[in-house]
Order: sequence, then C-alpha cells, then structure tokens
Amino acid sequence: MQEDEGLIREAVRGDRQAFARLYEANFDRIFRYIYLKIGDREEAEDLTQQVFLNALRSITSFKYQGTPFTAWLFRIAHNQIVDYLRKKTRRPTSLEIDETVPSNADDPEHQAELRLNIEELSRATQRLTKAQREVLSLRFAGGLSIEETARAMRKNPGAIKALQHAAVLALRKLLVVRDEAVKTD
Amino acid sequence: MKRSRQIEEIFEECLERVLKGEDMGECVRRYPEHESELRELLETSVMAREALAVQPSPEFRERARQQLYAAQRERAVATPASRGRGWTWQPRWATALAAVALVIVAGSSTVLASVSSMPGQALYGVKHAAESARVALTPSKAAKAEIYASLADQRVKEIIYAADRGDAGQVQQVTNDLNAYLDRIAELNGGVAQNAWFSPEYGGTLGSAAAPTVTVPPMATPAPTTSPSSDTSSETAKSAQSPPPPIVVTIPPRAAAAPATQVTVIVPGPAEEKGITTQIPPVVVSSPPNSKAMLKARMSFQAAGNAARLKAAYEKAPPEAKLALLKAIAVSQSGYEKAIQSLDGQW
Repeated sequence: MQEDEGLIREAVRGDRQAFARLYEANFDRIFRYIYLKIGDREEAEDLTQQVFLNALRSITSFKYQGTPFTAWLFRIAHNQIVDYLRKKTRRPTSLEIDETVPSNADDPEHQAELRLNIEELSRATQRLTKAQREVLSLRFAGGLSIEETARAMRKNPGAIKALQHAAVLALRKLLVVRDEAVKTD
Repeated sequence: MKRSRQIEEIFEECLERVLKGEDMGECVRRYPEHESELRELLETSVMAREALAVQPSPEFRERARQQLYAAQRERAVATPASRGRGWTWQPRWATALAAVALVIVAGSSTVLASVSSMPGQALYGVKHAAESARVALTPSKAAKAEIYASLADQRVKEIIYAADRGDAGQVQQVTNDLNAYLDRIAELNGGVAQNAWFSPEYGGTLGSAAAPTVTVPPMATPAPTTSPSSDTSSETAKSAQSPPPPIVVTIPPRAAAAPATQVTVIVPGPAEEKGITTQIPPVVVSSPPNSKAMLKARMSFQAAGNAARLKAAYEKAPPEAKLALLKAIAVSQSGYEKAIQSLDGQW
C-alpha cells in the first residue's frame, strides 16, 4: 500500500480528519495482525482500539524520516501485544490437534477439505520462531510488502524473504504433522 | 545456500502474483525444478490468507470509531498538561465520567458559550463533552432517548453548516455522530429486531405501508418579513406567524385488527434560521399519554423536516461537499427510520 505522505503530515500536525482517514485505512489490518498473534477475537478488538488510542497520543511526535507510518503503527501494535502477553503470562506451549483440518495435503481429493481458521492458524504460528511468526503476521495479516515488513522489523528485504520462506515451510510441516496425527486416530 | 536464496526469491515472486489473482499453476510451471516445493508453499500461503480473511464486527467497528472521535475531541480541548496522559480503551461509562469531569473543569460559562459552537470552532469539543455528560447524568431510557433525539437534530444543523463551508471531512464526521445517536435510540428500545414493523405480518421491510405517516396541513402563515437570501450564515430570518395548524401522526397498529393510533402534535411558533430550524419545537401530544408515542411523533416530524433541509442544503452545497452530504442524507433517512420504528409500546 502506497503511503499518503501529505495525509500523514497533516495527521502529525494534529488534523483530526487526517488521523481519522489513517485510522480507517489501517483498522482492519491491525485487527487481523493482533488477532493472528493472540488468537482471541475479543481481546484482539480491545487491543486494536488501544493501539489507535496510543497512536493518537503519540502521532505528534512521529517523524516521517526513516520510518514509514505503517511500520510505526505496527510497532505500536507489536509492543501492545508484548505488554498484553506479559500481563497475561500466557505462553502457548503446544499445537492442539484440530480435527476440522484434515487430509493428506498431497491428495487432490482432499485439497478442498484442507481448511484452516484463524484460531488454528494462530495456534500453529505459535510453534514458529518469533521472527518467522512476525513475518507471517506482518505479510499475511497486516498486508505489508516485503519492503514495509523489512522496515518494521529493521531487517533487510533479503532477510525477510528468507524468513518468509522458512516460516511458510515450517507452517506447512506443522500442518502435515497435524494431518498425520488425525489420520492415525 | 545459493539454491536456497533462489527459491526464496522465486517463492516471493509467485506469492505476489498469486495474491494478485494469477493462477497458481501458471507461475509454478515457469520453475519446473521447484514445482513441487513451490506448489506446497503457495497452497499453504493461500490457506493462511484465507484463514485471515476476517473482519472486525460492525458493532465493534462503530463503537471503536466513536471512542476514537471522542478521544480526538477531548484531546482538542485538553490542556497541554493533560495531553501527556495516556488514553486507554474504556467502557462507555468511563468515557461519560471523564466527560462530566471535563465539564466541571471547563466551567459552566465555557459550556454555555459552547452551545452554539459549530464543527471546527474552538468550543466544539466542549459542547460534545457537555452533551456526553448530559447523557451520562440522565438515568432513564426515555429521557436518554429524548436527549439523543435533540442531539441528532443538532447534528443535522451542523452537517448543513459544514456542507455550506465545503468541508466534506466535517460533514462525514458529524454524519457518523448523527448515525450513532439515532442508533442509540434504537438500542435503548432493544434494537429494531424487536420492532413489530419488521415482522412478516407488517410486510417485513423498512418503509412499508405500515410505517408512520405524517400529515402536515398547508401552513397558512404570512411570508417572512426578512429575505431568506440575506447572506451571513449566523443571520437569522425570523417571521411573525399565526399559530400553525396541528400535525397529525398516524402510528400503525401492532396487530392487524387493532385500530391505528393518531397522535396530534401542536407545534407552537417554530424559530427559523435561514430556513433551518435551530431549536426542536416543543410538542404537545394530546393522546395517548405515552412518552414513546410522543417521541415517535416528534421524531417523525424531525425526520421529515431534516430530510427537506438536507435536500435543500445539497442543492446549494459546493461540489466538494456534495458526496459527503449525499451520504448524510442516506444515513439520516435510514437512521431516523430505524429509530422511529423502534419506538413502539412502553419504555
């Protein structure tokens, strides 16, 4: 998504309409990003709103040089999630087997049945490394480009592509393992 | 290592193409040496994207939007010392308490001065805070609904003001407020789902024949003595008027066999400002002694008047405000319909 630099500058100067437009443009993807990372819709809603209220509080101190607005916003969301998880002291420990996600991934007959909901996906990504999980969250839930993801994670685009590849490969393996477990039941 | 770098680049290229709608097989076939792995990676990616195709609920979206606007308004009037304090996601009652505190701090003279403020003006935030406090301090549903009806009327006036200035953003923001107030009236009555007019026995649709009808007899009043075309928006054009004839609102029955209820509304001397009613006219309802029926009659009258005012504003609005004003007209119409239809029975 191309950032509207003029709009961001207006928001930084305290223009309520400009901030409201940035809010509308980013609301859904921040919600999805948080939902994927914590796996709970209601908590994700509360955290999403808190992210934007924090952004509203801090927007006048945002400096456009160096950091894109989206990267800045997703960092607020990331920090909000870290705080939330710290307070909750909730650390997912295992990937639960869910029988609604079935079948052999290589079997075309079963491809149509291969379905995943966001809670299952959230649980699966908890088994990835932190960096892999962050890349998937920013790219697939946040809809950020490779370049934007790189800015948000303070890495270079090549490293992000490598992490993305590793993350999707690991996710695939987790889903296949789960599939095998379902088949042996 | 080199092979690994290659597949990462290829995967990213194909992923971008697939996410833009290109057929997966098309990209995979370009790289036969990676076909199997690429296909698996892309299938997993697509599956993840599909799992993430979730939206925030409309209720949450609207609630969050209103909370953000309230926070923006409060920040606009906050003192520099209080700006450093963090906003937190709070339940509705907490926002109301904050508004009460703000009103106390701001002082009654400021609040009074803010009553006539308009969007974009310095005291507009104070006006909103005072309104929130008024709602928060009102215990009964019936009285809350009365206040929301008054506020909705006020918002329409502000929409027209903002449209006249060509400020589409302000029109949109105030329209959101209008929508929220009309929604609250319906919510106070348990929402439109409980409304008899949505049930099959009444045709099951909004705007059906069972909707309330407002009969406004021709006004036998003398022409205004001041020309309505005189310029400044703050200038008022008042006219001496003879007592207007009553307005009859026919409210459809709940049951098919029951007779319709007629409510007679007597509207004494409306105050007009450039053709825009600035105050909600006090109403006297002759029968029945039912506060909901009274409010329903009043809102039906308001809805008709506001629809006409918004339409007139659209005609003369600058081009940049027309689209936002069209949305305001649609929101006003559907919001009033929903609110009015929820006002049935007793509180």
